[in-house]
Amino acid sequence: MVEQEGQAEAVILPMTRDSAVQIALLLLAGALVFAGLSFFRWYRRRSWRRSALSAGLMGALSAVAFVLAFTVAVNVPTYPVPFTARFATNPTPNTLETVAAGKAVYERLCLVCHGARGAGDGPAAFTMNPRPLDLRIHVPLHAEGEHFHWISEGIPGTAMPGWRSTLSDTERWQLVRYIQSLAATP
Amino acid sequence: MTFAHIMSGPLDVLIELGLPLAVFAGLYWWSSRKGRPKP
Repeated sequence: MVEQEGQAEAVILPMTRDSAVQIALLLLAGALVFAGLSFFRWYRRRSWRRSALSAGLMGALSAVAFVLAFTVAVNVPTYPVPFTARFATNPTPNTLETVAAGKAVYERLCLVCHGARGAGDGPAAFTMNPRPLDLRIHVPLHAEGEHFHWISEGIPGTAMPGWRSTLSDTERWQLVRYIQSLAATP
Repeated sequence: MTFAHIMSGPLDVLIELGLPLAVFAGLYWWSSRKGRPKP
């Protein structure tokens, strides 16, 4: 994304909301177990304070995970991306030249389905089920590593093919820069 | 349950199941060990 002066990039946790909620629920279950354990130890007149502290700590961690899940986690269920791939960072420089190179690839290979502005309204889009999504809406909701993975491997169950064998790593990362710029351009 | 959807690799399993379990195991060990006897 080509940043304008004074414009901050949105913070996105490279984890789906489902993942974060999953962690939060497990932590909450642990907190409840510790709460039961501390009550049991108190009832039996054993040392219960550390169990109660543990229950509180796990409860607090669960609350943090819930807050992250409903604030900065990706909230769109999508085809899963390996954890390591989600954290991949774009090695290409964030410059107009990179975006222009990405645009050239986009117009050659992607435009026919995704449309000139990424709205999912290319000439071939109308024959597809599911239709290509509006990149301007969906790109900002995901980590750049996720876009790179989907461009590289394709998305099973859709018409989106993988471009790993056709495009170099650099070209695919340039594409990511371009679709991010599409989303950032009003 | 959403396990099948969210887990897409060993590292995901490690983070999404292992992290809470590790916290639980660590706290259980800490809460169960006997403190130093008071002088």
